[in-house]
Amino acid sequence: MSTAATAAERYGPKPRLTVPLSLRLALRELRGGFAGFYIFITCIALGATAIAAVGTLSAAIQHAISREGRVLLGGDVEASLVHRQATPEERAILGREGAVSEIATLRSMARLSDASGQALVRIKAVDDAYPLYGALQFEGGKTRADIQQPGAVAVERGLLEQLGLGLGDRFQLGNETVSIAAIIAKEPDRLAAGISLGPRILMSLETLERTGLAQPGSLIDWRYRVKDTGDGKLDKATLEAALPDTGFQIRDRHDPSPGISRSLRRLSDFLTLVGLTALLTGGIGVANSVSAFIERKRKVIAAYKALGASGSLITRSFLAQVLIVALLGILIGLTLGATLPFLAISFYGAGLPLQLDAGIYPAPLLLATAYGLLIALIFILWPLGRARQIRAGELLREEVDKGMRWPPLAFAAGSVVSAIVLALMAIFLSQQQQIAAIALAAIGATFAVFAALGYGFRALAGAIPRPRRPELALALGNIAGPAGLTRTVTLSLGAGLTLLTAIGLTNASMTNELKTQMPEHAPSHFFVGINKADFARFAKLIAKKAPGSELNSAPMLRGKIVALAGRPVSEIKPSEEAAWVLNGDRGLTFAERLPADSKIVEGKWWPPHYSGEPLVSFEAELARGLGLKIGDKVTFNVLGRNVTARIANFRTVDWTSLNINFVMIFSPNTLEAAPYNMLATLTWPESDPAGEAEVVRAVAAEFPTVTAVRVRDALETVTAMLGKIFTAIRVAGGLTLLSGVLVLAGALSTVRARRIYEAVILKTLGATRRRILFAHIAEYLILGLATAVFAAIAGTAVAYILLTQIIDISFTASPGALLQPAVLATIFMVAFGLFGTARVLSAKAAPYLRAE
Amino acid sequence: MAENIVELKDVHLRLQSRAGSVHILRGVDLSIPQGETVGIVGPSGSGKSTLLMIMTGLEKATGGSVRVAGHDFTALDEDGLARVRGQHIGIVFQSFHLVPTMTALENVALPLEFSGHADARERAANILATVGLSHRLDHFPAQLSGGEQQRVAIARALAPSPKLLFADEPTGNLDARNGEQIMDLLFDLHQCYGTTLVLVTHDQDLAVRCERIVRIDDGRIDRAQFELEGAA
Repeated sequence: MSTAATAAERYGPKPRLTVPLSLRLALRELRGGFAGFYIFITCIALGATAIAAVGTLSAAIQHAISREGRVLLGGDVEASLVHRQATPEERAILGREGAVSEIATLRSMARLSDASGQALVRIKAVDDAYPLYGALQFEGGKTRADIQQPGAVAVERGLLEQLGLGLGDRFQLGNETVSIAAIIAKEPDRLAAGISLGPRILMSLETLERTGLAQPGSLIDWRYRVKDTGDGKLDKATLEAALPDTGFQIRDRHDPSPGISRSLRRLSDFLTLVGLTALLTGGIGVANSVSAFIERKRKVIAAYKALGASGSLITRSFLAQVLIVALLGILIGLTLGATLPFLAISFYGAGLPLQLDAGIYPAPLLLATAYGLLIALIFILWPLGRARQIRAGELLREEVDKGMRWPPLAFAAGSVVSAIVLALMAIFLSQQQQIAAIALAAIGATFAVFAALGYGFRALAGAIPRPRRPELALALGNIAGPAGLTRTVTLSLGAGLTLLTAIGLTNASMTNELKTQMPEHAPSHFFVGINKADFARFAKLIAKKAPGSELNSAPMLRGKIVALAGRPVSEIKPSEEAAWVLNGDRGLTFAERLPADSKIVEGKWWPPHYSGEPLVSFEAELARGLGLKIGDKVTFNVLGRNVTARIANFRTVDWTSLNINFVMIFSPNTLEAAPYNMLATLTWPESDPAGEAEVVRAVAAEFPTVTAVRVRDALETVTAMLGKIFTAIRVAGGLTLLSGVLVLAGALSTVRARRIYEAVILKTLGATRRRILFAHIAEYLILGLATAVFAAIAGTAVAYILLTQIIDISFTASPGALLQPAVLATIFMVAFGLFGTARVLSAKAAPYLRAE
Repeated sequence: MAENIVELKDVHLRLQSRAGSVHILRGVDLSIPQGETVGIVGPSGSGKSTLLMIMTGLEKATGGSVRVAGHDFTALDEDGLARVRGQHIGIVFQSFHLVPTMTALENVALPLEFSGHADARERAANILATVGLSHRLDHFPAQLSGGEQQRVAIARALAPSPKLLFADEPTGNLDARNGEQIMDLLFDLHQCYGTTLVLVTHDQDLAVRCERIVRIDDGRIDRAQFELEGAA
């Protein structure tokens, strides 16, 4: 065998797995490790973690809700009524579907027998069949039998703390003195009840009867839970078909708490958008990273070309390299995103009402992967396009001008298409597409503003005459320079700071609205459940105990809209703002005259003593959201009867007055014959806590079935909940800033070599280290402050539009919310910058000055 | 005889590297009188650029004494050395080393601003006119040709009217025609301002234009210094 043949055998083509050459080149290049890509990987990982974690947590909760659906709902299906119990016929229909349990829920007041204290409570009266699913648990080994006795109740610990009571103690509930026979440890169907005021009291239906709280017209929800004893197919649709037009609100085990599910999806959607902002900010780090990478590889690329590689091979090889890096970032993000929520729950989740299953939820991980890849493509393709423009001739001669050039059209188009796909995905996967679209447009606009600011700021720094002080001239030179940090700083910090400013201002305005705006006009108490026959006596008591105060009242029933303009509710597609009107029961009232807070905007109010066709006045904006016009008919179910009224007028309502307001007000002849109760508000000319407490005590003593709700308590509960939601939003928003800081750190490390070189030249020209330090501080301060000021302006604009146009409350300027991000930006910028400067100043001159 | 503006006595430079200590300069003695032109020549790696770094205070000798423009460099800290450079020394590099974010005018004005001249820009503009670049004042380095960049670097080095001008392979990155023009410029300016010129080069043809050639090899001055009367 000849030598040539041996060599051919050794090096010639062999049958093996064919890995494309571009990928082989990519893998060879990556053998050296991921140095230079750490910021890239961290930026992608951070955004992917946020999106995967939010999605995983939300999916785990949804999964637990649907797994525990029966237990949370208390049955396979629940049919509930307000004001009235089911008729024997309706009970018979329910009974045909399976085992039925009857439960009544209502709000009331628990009072100490000596009238020294009272508390708003949530009563749940249950029959013997309760609970159909899950187990009711009491503290200290107590059982159901302990509350079976008439007058015996079980309470949540909160009530004991509130009223200073203990096991075995007695207190007043309506007309009855009840005794605490047990303390509730676990109520299986607690979550489905939603979030509401006051601790729970559990009792038998017989005890409820004895309290006298269940009167005609009382605001009681009667719930009928059915346990499927048949073929397991019993669901919402079955009961809706069996109980048409009866006013039942029906839920099934698949969605035991539509309100919670809806809120969860909305919060999850919103946090995903915030995560996407973090990912977008990180994208700038990716782009910088890829640009620096291509810059480092110029000679390699030129050498490849000199050796005969095609532009497309080089592009594919470098695209493969950066995609491998992106995938590594995504993988890290998915791992953290899929595990962090469960780690957090294992530390802090003991109090959760649901047992969440740790596990892999593929949907959010897929979503995070898709978003991560799209973001990577948007920001990779643009700088990668330049790799194609590098000429082999660069091996022999440095390109004199490496300035900004447009990448080839295909790369620019690829970036743009990726961005469009990302936006469409984010919009169509959101529950509230319009809001998602607006949010994305706002995010896009913010980035555009800060990109423009970067350009503008550079141009401005270049245009203004150089100051005499060389430090300032140097700082301005760096800001104006084409390879400076200006654009990266404005882009990377701008979006995060704008977001934090907007979140801070929105939070401050909403809290301010709740805390300070209301009490000036707002009533101190709502009184619910005043029997219409007792109302005159009630008003007299108030006039005696609270002279000078203002008592407003309105009759109130609850009912459910079943059809609008002849179309059943299920066929109506309301606007997002108006959808709540059709969810569940609404308060209904009737009035002879137009209430003080309202103004007719279309149509006419009915004349006094009107006795014709039933008429209704509808709140104007909601009517528009529901597609209604004057003359349309509204059919609602109240106390089991369907009643139809014609829309006579539209009116505006000032909801923020916190006075008694209703979406629908009927002409008196429509409802006055129904058994209703009165709702009243008490407004004091000036705050008088002692007087308020005295009135509540007097009302409780004389009208034991009337419930008093302190407005301030209700507002505090809402404020506390708002605070928690804003904390979650702030954490997510903080991620964007963290992403920005990472980008900044990456950019600073990219320019460090140039900075050292520059400092060395300056030293050869006689500059002291102090001068160089001052020049750097001046540059970072100018950049940090400029970005902070614009972020404050942009954040204020976003918050202002959000508050005044969407949430519809007044904007409050909060110096704290405004200054915090600005100070943060400046500190970050100067601190990070100076960290780099320390290394610049300590660098030795000689190695940088020797001829190459 | 003119006073010595550079006086090196038994100068050593040892640098630590991974492979151990490297002895780069091994006892260099060199005196340069005010107003002289000196060519320092030697093969690559002989230590000629290092010697320039020592004379400009950009590198600190590890042994011996270095006196330049009346200052003891071994006793000055980094900032003290920077001040001496600002007042007395101009340096021209092979790779120009202009500040990329500044225009030609700003680059030239910089050392004047560092030493507190109120008319820095006017003087810079005049010097740029002297080197034939009055039409390029507002251009950034990347917008200038190699020859033009080197002219800016020379203008910058001469701006504060230094007593000493060091040039390290000033034509190394230029073509023959541009290189010749730059050399003519350097020697013309030396004549005009009476500046001491120290030229580091591996090109014997350039060095012969100097009044004296100092040959360096393996960290030592190799041959006796000799005078080239009437050269240049």
